[in-house]
Amino acid sequence: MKTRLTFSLFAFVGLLSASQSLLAAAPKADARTTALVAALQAVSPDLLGGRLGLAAATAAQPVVARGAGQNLTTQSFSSQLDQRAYVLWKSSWKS
Amino acid sequence: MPRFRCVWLAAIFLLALGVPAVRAMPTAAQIRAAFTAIDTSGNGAISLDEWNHASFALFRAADKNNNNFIDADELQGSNIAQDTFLQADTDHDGRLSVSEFMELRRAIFHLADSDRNDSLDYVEFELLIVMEQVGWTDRNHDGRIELSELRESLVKAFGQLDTDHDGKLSAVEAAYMPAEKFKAFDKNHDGQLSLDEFIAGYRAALLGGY
Repeated sequence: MKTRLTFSLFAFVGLLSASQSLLAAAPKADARTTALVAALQAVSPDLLGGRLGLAAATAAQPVVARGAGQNLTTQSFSSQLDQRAYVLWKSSWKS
Repeated sequence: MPRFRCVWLAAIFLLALGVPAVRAMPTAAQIRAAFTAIDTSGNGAISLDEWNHASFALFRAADKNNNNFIDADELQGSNIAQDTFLQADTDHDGRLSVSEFMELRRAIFHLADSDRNDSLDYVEFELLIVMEQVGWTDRNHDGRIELSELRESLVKAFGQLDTDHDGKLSAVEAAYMPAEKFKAFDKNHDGQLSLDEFIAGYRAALLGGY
């Protein structure tokens, strides 16, 4: 009886410390991302890249507008990849 | 007197329209901090993968309601940002999806990657920050910043940085540049950068050393 109680106590303490470290990891990842965003925004407040972003978006337009057959398929595939990568990134960021 | 009032009204109108004021350049320390934050491998260059992760972080921060879109009202910024938003919103649904945002971010990366090695070194990243302020024109429509096109943007940047309009950049005016780079660019050692030194310095830096 005493052995079982001791084992349960150890198991409880083990679980508690594991959950504590998991809980601590999330804010750490969160803090890293917040620090990264703050560092980027300090040098580049416009997340769309200011005048360079506008030039890039304008330069990309004719290629997108062409968008026939294969181009659209490639775009759709690339779009799915981006979404999947983002979801993965978000889940790794949360854990 | 009525003319004076008109000028004020015009100024207020332009401000209300969100005409961007010339923003001060960040300091060398801020640019170094941003570069280090993105370069998570610490190898002195930003890979496309590292750039993508940093872009995801920016997207997540902007997506306040966490619906995986940047809606027009979540975008804060100048009228340049609004114009870019319209251009990047390729399906014209009034919001930016992750892929539309990432297309734009990758285009910016490839523009800045002037040596086309799929990574941004410190000089390329620093120029990216400069170009965000002064813009760039893709004369040969290849989606890359060429040295000849760079000159045009650097002349604009020089004019913007030269706040006392003496035709030279002091170390204070070029505070976005690391001190050792400023010294290396300053070929005649007069403690200031002429336009020629400024352009020649960047050309040499991009070609692999100054």
